[in-house]
Amino acid sequence: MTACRRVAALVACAVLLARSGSAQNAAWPSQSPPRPLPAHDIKFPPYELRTLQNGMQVVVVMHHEQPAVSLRLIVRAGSAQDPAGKTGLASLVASLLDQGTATRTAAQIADLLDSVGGDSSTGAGRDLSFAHVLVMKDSFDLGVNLLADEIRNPSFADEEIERQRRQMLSALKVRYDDPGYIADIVFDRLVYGFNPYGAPSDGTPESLPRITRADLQAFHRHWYAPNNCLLALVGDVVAEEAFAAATQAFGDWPKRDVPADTASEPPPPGRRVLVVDKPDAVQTEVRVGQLGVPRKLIDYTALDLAINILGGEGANRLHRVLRMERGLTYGASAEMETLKRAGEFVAVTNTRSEATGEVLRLVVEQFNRLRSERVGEQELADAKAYLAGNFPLRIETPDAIALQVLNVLFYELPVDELHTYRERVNAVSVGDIARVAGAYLRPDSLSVVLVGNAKAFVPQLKAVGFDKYEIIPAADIDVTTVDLRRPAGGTDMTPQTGDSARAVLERAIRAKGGADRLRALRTVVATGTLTVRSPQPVEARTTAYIQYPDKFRVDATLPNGEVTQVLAAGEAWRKDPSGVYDLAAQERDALRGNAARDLVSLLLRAADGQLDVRLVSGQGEADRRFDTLRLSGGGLAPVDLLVDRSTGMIAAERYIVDQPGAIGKVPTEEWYSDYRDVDGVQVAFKTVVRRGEAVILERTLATVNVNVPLGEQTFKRPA
Amino acid sequence: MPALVLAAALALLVAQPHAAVRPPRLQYQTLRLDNGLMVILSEDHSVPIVHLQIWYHVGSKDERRGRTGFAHLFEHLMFKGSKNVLPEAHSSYVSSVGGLSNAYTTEDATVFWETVPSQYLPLALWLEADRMASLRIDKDTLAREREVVKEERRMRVENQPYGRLAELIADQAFTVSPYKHPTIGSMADLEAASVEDVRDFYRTYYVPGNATLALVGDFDSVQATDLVKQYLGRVPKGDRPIPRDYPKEPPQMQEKRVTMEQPWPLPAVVVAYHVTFDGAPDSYPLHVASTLLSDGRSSRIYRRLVYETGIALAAFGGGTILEEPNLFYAVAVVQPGHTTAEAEKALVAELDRLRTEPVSEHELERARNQLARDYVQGRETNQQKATHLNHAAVIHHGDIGTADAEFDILVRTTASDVLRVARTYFTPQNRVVLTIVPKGGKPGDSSR
Repeated sequence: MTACRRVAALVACAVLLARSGSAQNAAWPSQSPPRPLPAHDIKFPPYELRTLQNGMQVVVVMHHEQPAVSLRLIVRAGSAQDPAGKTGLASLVASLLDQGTATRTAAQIADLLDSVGGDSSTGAGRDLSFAHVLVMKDSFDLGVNLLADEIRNPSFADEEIERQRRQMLSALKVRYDDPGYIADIVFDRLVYGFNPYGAPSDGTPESLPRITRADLQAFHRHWYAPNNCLLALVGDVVAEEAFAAATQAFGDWPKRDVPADTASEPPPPGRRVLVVDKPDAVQTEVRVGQLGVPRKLIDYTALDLAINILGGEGANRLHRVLRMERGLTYGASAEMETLKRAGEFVAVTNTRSEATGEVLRLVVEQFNRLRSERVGEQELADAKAYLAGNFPLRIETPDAIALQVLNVLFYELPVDELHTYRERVNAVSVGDIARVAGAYLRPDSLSVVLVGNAKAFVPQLKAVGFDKYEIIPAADIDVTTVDLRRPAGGTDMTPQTGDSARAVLERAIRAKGGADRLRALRTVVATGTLTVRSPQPVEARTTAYIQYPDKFRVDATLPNGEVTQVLAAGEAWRKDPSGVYDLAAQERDALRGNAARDLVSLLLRAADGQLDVRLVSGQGEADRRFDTLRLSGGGLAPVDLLVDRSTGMIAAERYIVDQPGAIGKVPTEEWYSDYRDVDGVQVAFKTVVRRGEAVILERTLATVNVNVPLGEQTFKRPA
Repeated sequence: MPALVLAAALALLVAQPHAAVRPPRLQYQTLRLDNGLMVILSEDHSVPIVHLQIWYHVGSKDERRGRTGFAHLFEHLMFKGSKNVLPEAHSSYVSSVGGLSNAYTTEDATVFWETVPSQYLPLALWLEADRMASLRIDKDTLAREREVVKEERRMRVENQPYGRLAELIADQAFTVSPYKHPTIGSMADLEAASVEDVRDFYRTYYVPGNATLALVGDFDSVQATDLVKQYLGRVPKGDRPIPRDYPKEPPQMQEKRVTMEQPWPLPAVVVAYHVTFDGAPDSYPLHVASTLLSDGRSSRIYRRLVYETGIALAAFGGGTILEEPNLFYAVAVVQPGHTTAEAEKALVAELDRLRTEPVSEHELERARNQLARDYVQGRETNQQKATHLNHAAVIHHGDIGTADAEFDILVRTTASDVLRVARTYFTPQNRVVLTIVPKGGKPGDSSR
């Protein structure tokens, strides 16, 4: 067995070295390590699982050694569900669950729980929120009912909101002083981009002040539903009594539809090096890694082992090279974080400033090695021995057992995985490791974050192969902005008033009606008049239909008859008195361009991080009145939005359309005015389109209706 | 029979209020080997793992002036190899079978532990025996570990804010007590240490007669006893007496006030009092006082300073009850917009209240239930049980029964007991007030 071979090798060396020991040691016998005793069987402990009528999944783990019961409720929603700009919402909701319900104040809850020696905690991670109550056996009913009350009926009292908000902001003050924390949040932002996983679940000094009571209630209403929850009752209970209590407390909680997940995908791995400058630091915090995989992945176990070999227990290459061989660091590790929809691989270490460049080089080298070379049989055996051997240590307490079950349920993994863990670990081969390393690792596209004294190590970066990097002073870090910098002149406790791209975007969205309202737009039907100025003046009555995200139709009454143009889910066609035709490529592209520049689409895509958003300085006097946002990426040719500095309203769109025969590229501008409120959304009732100095067309709306149901026929191409 | 156990036995005769639920008693047997090693065995077959925990009765308080930091240095050196074990191999052996191992140093003891799948009990015993008997101590190893400790110290200075709070309090509150200096010691002392000094320390303190082994988990006591005798029974006895004379801190005659700067984002205020040692009759009402002041959101300090007034981001009060007399202190991390003076006033007010008003029966019952919960939560894992058994054996000088018996003493604490200890210890002349402001800032000031 490989474990024995390794032990023998160690022993052989030890015997050789024994000669250098002291006289005292000579009396102590030379000896190899003893053989193990016979192994005891390990079975996953028993548990029971039921689903209530309303969809709530309930797990019971019985354990009678201690007269206590642990109650843990998990909601399938966390900071990944925080709306853009409201990072920290899930956490704030969770922090308020035990700070008052419809029938109990925060003080009453504390008194009640403390007086029976109970304990409780709440919180939110990225994919989930939780509430935990621990009670002694004789307060079981109280514990279950209190937990149910907290989850179902939190009151979100104004003064409690302010208290918790203040606590969270102050706690952030402390955390921002910790270079490790800064490294972690900046790294997540690099890897996940504007996908919600990239935002810190505790919120930011900028986002927390913006959260309103309505936001809290909406989050709770949307996500806290029995069919969206898991409940574990663990400890000194009997299954029947536990299920009965769960049914009594939660059974009449009505099932509710839960919003679909609409978050955009994280960006693909891309090499980026970010230095956060802390001039007084003597150590550098180092994070190196990339986008990884979600939890529910068939290659999970093999990848887990691969990352373990890189930097986990049992076979930690990073630790061996960085600490033991080179003495460069006190500790180094690599982890694989796997969430519901995505994940990351990250190597974590810190080192003296002067050693930063070398440490970075070595870490990247280890990522490369893992991908390019097959791992050794012994190394893999050691990593497997650790993971498989460690299994019983992870099911020591009833809570630990319950967490294993909850984990499997939460990630919708096959339940029998609990019973086959060690077999699955032992089944992984060197070939498997090579395959997954090849498939998922991208050593040429690593994200790197270095938090420390930039002056001391930046000169080293080029020598180790990193000649492109950005430096941001630690005090200026803001993970919510596009460029990770705080807006100039902004202070932490007040809402964004600076002029960073993100701030302008958010102002524009707010002015237009707010992200919620915009997201709630499903259809728009608008009637009006279109006047084409050139080449020939023509006037037409029009009716436009939009079904978001991808169906557009215009009906125009022209002198020679009715014309309809439709762009719907990839098809582009036209109907006029002479028949139904596919649009020519050029017309289709023009129509697509128009559709892509729909303002609501643009704003929401930008808010979701699917587009690159920059502030540009324009030319001319327009500059004084407007902030110009340039949106691009995601298949979109660049579009400029001119945002009125005083109102936040979008005054114009500017873009370049390829015109055959045109000399040079003349921008087209659409100017909006006569904004009116339609169901909470600001709609421009007048649009003037110019190219250069010439006005090409004007459109004036007569009526606008939103969310009118549009039948299938609306966009269906006639036979 | 130790006085404490007698007192507990007598107390049983008197009808007294009790906690709602009585935590189960620890089941164990003990034996002492011929070489002086104290062994505690507690079987638990619920999961096939075994936890092995050795306490050496030496901590930072055993260090003399000029020789501070040795106990902590030893924590490192014990992983650097012994006759049959290569440097760093101890941890590799353990992780290669899926186990975990670590160590820590406190003021009173140095603790080494392993948790392994139960079939590897012989391996864990063999590893501990090898380093107890034949630790490799040479100049190169000493030099290297000194550097690692320096690196560790550097990291701790940069570390999370408030990490060094306890150290700063001890430094300011004590003059002569060996608890004054930090466990990590002074760099100068470590630099000055010779290999002979280090070998001397090893021969004095790392001997079976100064060690207690607790084994908790899935084993058969008869078989385990044989294995312990086989591996640890061979370790030779120590050949010199172990010094136990600790400098006594003279009584403080007037309030001490200190203001200092630290690179922390928010100011902190500490109000500390000199108190008694672990196991003294007064220590129990002090534990109860800790619970009253800061256990749970309805506790006095939390309620007043965090919830009602918002003066503190975090605040708590509790006793550091160690083998020799140490401190009881309350801390508040001050919220922006509030001053350290406010925080000090509020903390002192809570401590003074314990001197002037007897605690209500409602609060005492709450405290009893919370202590019961602590006992229940605090004895779930093999490691936790081992820690409690070892603590009783080492810090209570062989009185292992206190691991359970203390619970009964605690829940029999009365309002007048709490009043008495508050009046004895929470006096102005016995008080040390430490105000810590952010570097470059004023109290109550905070940037960012």
